[in-house]
Parts: sequence; structure tokens; C-alpha cells
Amino acid sequence: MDHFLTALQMALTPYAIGAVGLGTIIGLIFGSIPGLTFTVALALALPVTFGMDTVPAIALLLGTYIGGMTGGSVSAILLGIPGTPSAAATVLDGYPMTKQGRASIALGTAVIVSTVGGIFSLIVMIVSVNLVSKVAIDFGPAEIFALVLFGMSTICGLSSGSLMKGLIAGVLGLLIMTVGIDKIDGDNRMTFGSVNLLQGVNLLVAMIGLFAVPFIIDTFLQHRHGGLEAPATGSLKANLPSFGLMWRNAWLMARCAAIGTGIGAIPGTGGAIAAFLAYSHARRFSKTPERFGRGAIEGVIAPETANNAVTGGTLIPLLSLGVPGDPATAIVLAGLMIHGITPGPALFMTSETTVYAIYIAVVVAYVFILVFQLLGIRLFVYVLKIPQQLLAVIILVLCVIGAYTVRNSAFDVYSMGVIGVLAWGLVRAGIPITPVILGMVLGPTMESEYRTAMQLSGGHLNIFYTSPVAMFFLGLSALVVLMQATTSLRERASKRLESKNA
Amino acid sequence: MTPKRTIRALVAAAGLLATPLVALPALAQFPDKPVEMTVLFGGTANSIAQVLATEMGKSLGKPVVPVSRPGGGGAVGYSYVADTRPDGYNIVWNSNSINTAYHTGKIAFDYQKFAPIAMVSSEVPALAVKAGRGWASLDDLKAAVEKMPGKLKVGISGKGSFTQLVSAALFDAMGIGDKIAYISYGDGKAPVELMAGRIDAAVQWPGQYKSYVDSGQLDVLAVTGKKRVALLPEAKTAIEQGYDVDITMWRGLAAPKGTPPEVVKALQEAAQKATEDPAFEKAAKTLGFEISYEDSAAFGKEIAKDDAFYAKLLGHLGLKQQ
Amino acid sequence: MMEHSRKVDVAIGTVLALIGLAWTLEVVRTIPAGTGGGDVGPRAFPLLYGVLLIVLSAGWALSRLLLTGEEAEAPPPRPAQPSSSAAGATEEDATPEAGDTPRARVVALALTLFVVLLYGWLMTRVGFLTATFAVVLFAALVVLRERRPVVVAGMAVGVTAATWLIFEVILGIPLATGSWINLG
Repeated sequence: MDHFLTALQMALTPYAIGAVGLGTIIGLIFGSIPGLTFTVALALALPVTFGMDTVPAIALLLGTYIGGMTGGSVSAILLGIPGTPSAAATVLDGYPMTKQGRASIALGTAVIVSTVGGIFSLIVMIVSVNLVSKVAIDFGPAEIFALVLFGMSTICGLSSGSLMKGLIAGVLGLLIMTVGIDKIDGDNRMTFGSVNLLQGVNLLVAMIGLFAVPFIIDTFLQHRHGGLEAPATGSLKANLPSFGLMWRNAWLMARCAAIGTGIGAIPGTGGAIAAFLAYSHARRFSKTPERFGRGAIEGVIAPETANNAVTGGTLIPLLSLGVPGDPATAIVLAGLMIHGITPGPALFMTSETTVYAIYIAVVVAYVFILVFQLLGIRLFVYVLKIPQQLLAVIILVLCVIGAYTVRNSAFDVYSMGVIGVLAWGLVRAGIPITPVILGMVLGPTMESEYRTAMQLSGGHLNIFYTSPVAMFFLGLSALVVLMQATTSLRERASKRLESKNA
Repeated sequence: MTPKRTIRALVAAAGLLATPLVALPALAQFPDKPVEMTVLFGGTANSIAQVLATEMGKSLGKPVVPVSRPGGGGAVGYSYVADTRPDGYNIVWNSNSINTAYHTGKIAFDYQKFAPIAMVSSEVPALAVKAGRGWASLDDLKAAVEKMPGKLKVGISGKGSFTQLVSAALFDAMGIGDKIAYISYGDGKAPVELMAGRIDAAVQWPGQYKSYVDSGQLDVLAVTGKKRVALLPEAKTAIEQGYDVDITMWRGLAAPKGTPPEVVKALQEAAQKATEDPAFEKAAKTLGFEISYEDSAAFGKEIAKDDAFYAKLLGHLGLKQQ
Repeated sequence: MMEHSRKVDVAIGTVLALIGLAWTLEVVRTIPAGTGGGDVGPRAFPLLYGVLLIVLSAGWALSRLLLTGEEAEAPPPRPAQPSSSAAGATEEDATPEAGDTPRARVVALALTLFVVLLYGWLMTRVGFLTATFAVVLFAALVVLRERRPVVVAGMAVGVTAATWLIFEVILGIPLATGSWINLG
């Protein structure tokens, strides 16, 4: 209790609160502007923290991380361009809601459920960090491979039109990410002797190209031929979601928060897989799955609850095992280490006060997020009032800045352009984009975990079937694929019947 | 962010050239724009680079921006920087990996493609096992491995990585080199895998073990340097235990070959100032590395000496490709 | 209409299958295989993905070619709003808007790609701010065919000033510096 009180004193100084607030704003800005990602924001914030005291420094980084994770939903909902890979699933229903004039409801819902998810995961972490980290240790390469494969199987739920097209899109995503130097053996793969390709395709750069460039092309196309509609100005009332709406979905939020926390706790997975799993979970257990992809509020609630629950989840392996879950938490880890806080099992003995202070900083960060975002919605929706052609030019500039700053390389700007044009082609061919990003996020993890598992077992597949956890997830993946295949076959059969009768 | 640059932009834009005496020398002086520091690895390498870059930026007057280009045991970053213009605006946070990456065939060029700037730090790898396996020394481990039916699973950072090289040298000296299976882990996961019992031993950096050793969950059997490591004072060196292995990883800065000497000098001085800064000394303590500054000339000699050493070692271990 | 969309699908499936074939051949040619046992090697996964791409795209093309008389999947979406399809939603919306001809599409596509490439190249030569100004000017004049001088100048100056203010002054992000001239 003494520790807790000291922690309160450390975390609630005006300086520390200011640091959280500043971090949250930076994170929100980077997360919400298409093209900019909060991983870049964290990399920029890190050197600033070197000269600060420990608690404000960590608070600044955590504020940026959490603010960025939440902010990613803003451009996903308003423009259909996710601010972070974790917000890619939010596009599926958030953007249709905007087109129906329900942008502010979607935004408000996203903020509230993000906070719920975040606080939920923090509570789980405080109560059961030891238990959860023990479970997390049990996730070895074989188990993580199985889990990631299960994540891939959600492609089935994303491609409502055609299972085949969704799978093709997923494979394209997997394919792109194998370009570059192989992480395990160090061989060049499909680099054609180019130094720039050695680095591989950056996920963030590709994401910007996949979602933002088609938006720009379409706007230009329609503007040049006078087909551009006036922006939907009628929908700018800043309505907030009602309490009843939140209450009706409380159980869904709880389940998705649990998914997010669990996924976050397993190192090497991260926000995107949690968001997609939560989305497909919500769709599968919905009484009206056909509404998904057409502006169902549940399609915003599920991924947004889950991706913010990941923030608390990733803190578990980060603090108790010293293993970062994604590039963003790797930067938080560097910040902790530089301030002399070595994460790992001893942290809870040696720096208990700091750990409590971190918890408090997370709560403060969510208070800021609620305030900033709910106030901000009134401003955010004005983005829709900007003439589309001007907006497209602005987004173009932002995307180029974003692609460039990821690795300070003009080559990334070129790849963003080329990927974007190809993405536009895919969209026109009726091949969905979301599975591509899913393949890109999960592909590298899937491959490296499988290969490490094989190294461990000496090439025997028994490493999978002797592990109940791995078998559980492999079984789930098979189940999802089977169910989807039978559904689409049945739909096909009934359609054939209809067309015969007609 | 930098008012000077901003003002200059405004002055130039307005066409006011009334202050050429102030503006021109500033333009001619290195650096007049941010310096990009390519970082080859994550983990400690990245953390040190962050602190170093911040401190160097302070004395250079322009920011030094660390950019992560990981992969291929350093091959990605080395190839990238070697290809850039030799003007000092692209430098690489290098290490022994320049020697090992060349000799193991990852890159087609060797250390001579770079101009050394300064050596900055050194780190000593450590061999750890899970506590409670009854192995207290290298001899215990050797005895156990010799009796074992299969192979000892050793966690490393990737094929051809420095940690694999150190493991190979150490186990070779112990005479159990052919009973080792290497498991590659990225992201510093090896200690966790050790805890879970999926691997038997791991060769990683002291900072990664610190917390586990403090909590009594892992035992460090040996460090591979000449002296013990301040962070893990209990861990004996391999030499103390009768195995002649002395391998330490240095880290330093290098620029593409052909970088003007005065630019190298400016960077060297900035690096030296950074290593003397209290903030850097504090980071050395918390991150678990030693500060070992050497100037450009001494650093160049050290790299050349190491190159011969690793060529021989890799040849002996059968890992040498070129 | 139906026939046309089927033709397009078959064509796209064939192209993708050919890409998959080229990929697979290149993978086999350039990437070494694993040594067996626990060593999966760097080739296995790219190879698997290549083969999957061939099988899936060829299968899709064939099924569209052979299975006649069957109500096909929803036709390719034509976004009524820019990028309604980015999310992959297949909306029933068959009427192409005015001007959305194949030629117009190629022009818009080429222009956008050109602007992005030009921007990336320019900013490493003349610095970020000058490049931004030039690219926005180009986009306004050529891409958007804006003829009102005030609007064109306003866009170029406004966007450049805003990015300078936000990124250089407030956020302090190191942006591209030019190798020829640099005003940023």
C-alpha cells in the first residue's frame, strides 16, 4: 500500500500528468492522420524522454502508444484509410457508417469502447500479471504459429463476396512480405540484386499504399470527369452514441476486450490480429451477420475494443518477461531500459512503485483520450466538409511524408505509389484489400514461428500435435474454414435453384 | 525545430541576401542537415544507438536520426550505407558483424568499404541455463551434454549472428561442438524460451538475463570476455573455467569509404563527447554495456585485427564462405 | 453485362496465375532450399505462396470460365464514392458514373503514380518544402485542371505552409533534405 501511495505521488505530479497529456495528443495526431503512424511518433518521442525523470518519461511513451492506438480509428472511419494496421478491421464497418452519415456515432463509439477495452486489459494485468505471464510463457513457436494461422482463417469472414477472391488477396499479402533478406538464414529472397529491396517491403508503407492511394486515384478520376459528389455536409451533427447502445453491446465488448487482452499478452502477435479476430468473432456470433460490412455498429465496437485491450495485454509480457509484442512496444521497452527499469520477473520486486506508477499513467492516458477525442469529434467531422479533390491532394502529401519517415527513404515513397496503383487494380477487379493487409501483418510471424518450431523439433510435426494449445487453435482454424466452405456451397446451391426457378 | 534553419529558409525565400557572411559559412560547415545513423539490430544495439544519437546531435548542432535497417545479420544496413554518398550524412552504427557478415558470405564487400569514425562501446555475450538443472559451471554442462542422447538446444539470435559465432567457438573449445542444435529467435525471446524449457541453453546479452538472474530463475554459466561483466558479477569468464575463449563485441560508427577526413573528424569528436556525457554513462550502467572509446585510427586497426581473427575462427568452425 | 464481368474475371485470374507462375519459377531459381530435418530453409514459404497463388487464381479463372448458367458472385464493385471499395465491401452498384471510361481510368492512374514518383524523387533533390510546393501546384493545374489562379496559388502555398508548420515547427520531424538545393 505504501508503494501505491508513493506511486500516486509520483504519477500525479503536474509534470507527469502533463507528460501523459502531451504523449496522448502526439499519439492521437499521428494515429489519426492518414499516412502517419504512431510507431514513428514513438521513435520521435523516445529521445525526448532521455532527459526526463523516470515516471514522466514512461508516461509520455505510454501516452503516445495508447493515443496512437485509439487515434488510428479516426481516419479509418472518416476516410476508409486506417491510421495503423490495428485499425484496418475498423474500416470494414466504420467507413460505411460515415457514408451513411453516421460518422460521429462511429467515432464516439470507437473512443468509448477503446477506453473500455484499455481499462479492462489494465485491470486484468493488475490482477493477474503473474498468472497471465505464466500462460504466455507456454506459448512457444508451435503455439504461436497455430494462433496466427487461426488469425489468417478470419480471411474467410472478411470476403463476403467470394471466398476465392479473399484467399487470393491473402496470398498476395503473404507473398509480398517474403521479399527481402530472410530473417533466419539471411538469404536474399526475390530482391533482384536491389539494395532497396533487401530491406523488404515495410508493412506501414504498404498499408498507406493499399488504402490511401486508391482513395486518391478515385477522387482524381471522378473530379476530372465531374462525377464528384458534394461532401455529405448534412451529416455533421456531432451525435454521440447513446448509453443504451453501449449497454446493449456490453457483453460483446467484454468478449472482445478478453480477446484483445489475451492476444496482446502473447508476444509477437499484436493489435491487428486481435482486431480481426474480434471482428470475425462478432460477425460469427451476430444474429444478423449480413449487416456486417454495411455499417454495423458492432463492426466498429469489436475491433476497437480489442485493439485497445491489446495495449494492456502487451504490457504483461513487456513488463514481466521483457519481450516486446510489436515495433511500438519495442520502443517503449528501450525507454524503460534507458531509465534503468529492466523488465523481467525481478521488476515486480525491485521497482514495484514504478510499476504502480505505470498503471496510474495508463488510467490517466485514457482520461485524456476520452476528453480529447470526444471534444475532437466535433472537429474531426469537419474533415468531411473539405472538398474531396483538395482532401485528396492533402492526403497525398501526408502519405508521402508518412511513407518517407518510416525509414527515411525515398524508395519507400516509390513502393507506396506502385503498391497503391496495384491495390486500385485489385479493388476494381473485385478483389478485397483487407485480406492483403492481414496476410502482410501475419505472414512474417507465421513463417518465422513455423521455422523455429521445426528447428526445435528437428523437423517433426509432433511439436504441433503434442501441444494441446496448438491443436486447439489448429482445430479452430479448420472449423472456421469448413464452416465457411459449407456456407458458401449452400448459398451457391440455393442461388442455382433460384436461377433455375426464375 | 531548429530556429537557425527556419530563419535561413525565411531569409532565402524573401530574397534577402544581406547576411551572406552569416549564412554561407554555416552552409559550408558539416553538418548543415540531419545526419542519418543506420541501426542494424534491435534490442541493446538500438537502445545504445538512441542515446548516442541524441548526445551526438547535441554537440553537432544538427539532429542525428537513428533509422532501423535490421536483417541478415547486418547485411541490409551495411549494403544500404555502403551505397550512399560519402558525405558523412549517412553513417552506420556498426559492430564485429562487419567482419562476420563478410566472412560468412552475407555481404560481398568487407570492412574496407567503410571509413572508421570511432569505437564507442563493447558488450560481452553470456551463456545461460535454467536454474535448477544442476549445471553450475561449463564443466557440469559439458559432462551433461556428453551423456545426453540428443543434441543440446541452444537459443541464438539467428544463423550467422554474433551470438551463434560465440556459441560455436565456446562449445568447440569445450569439445561438444557437434552436439549442439541452434534455434534462432528474434526480438530477445531466447530467455523466455529458456524459462519455458523449450531450449536448454541460450547465448545472449547480459542485460537480457539480468532480471531473471536476480529473481533466481536463470543461471549464467559463463561470459566470453577477458574480464567479468559488471552487470553480472557472479558469472565467471570462460577463461577462468579453463576454456580459452575471448570474444567481445564492439560497437562503433563508420561512414562510407571516401568520406572527407574533416567530416570523419567532426563525427569522431561528437562521438567522443557523447561517450563522456553523464547521460551516456548512466545508460551504460542500465543497459549493461561498457564504454570503450577509441579514435578513428585506433578503431581502424582494431577492425583490421579482428577481421583476421574472425577469418581464422570462422574457417576453423567451418562457417567461412569467403 | 454478366458476360463481360465473367470475361474480366477470367482475364484477371489468368494474369494472377501467370504472376504466380513467374514468382514460383524465380523462387526456385534464386532461393536455396533448406537442408532438411529441422531446417525448413528460406525457400519453402515463398514457394508455397507462389503455388497457392497459381492454384487459387487458376481455379478461380477456370470456375468462372466453365460454370455457366450459374448466378455468379457480385460483380466487381464500382465505387460511387471514392474508394468505397477500399474496405472490400461488395456493394450492388452497377451504374458506372459519367466519365469512368477505361481511358479515363488509365489517365487518372498514370497521373497519380507520376505525381507520387515525382514527389519522392524531387524531395531528395530540392528538399521537402520545395517539392511539396511544386507537386501541389502540378496536381492542381494538371491533375485537377484547376484554372482559377487564386485557388491554385492558395492550395500550393496553403498546403506547403501547413506541412511546414506542422512537421518542421511543431513536431520536428526530420524531413527529406535536397541534394541540389535545400530551403527547408
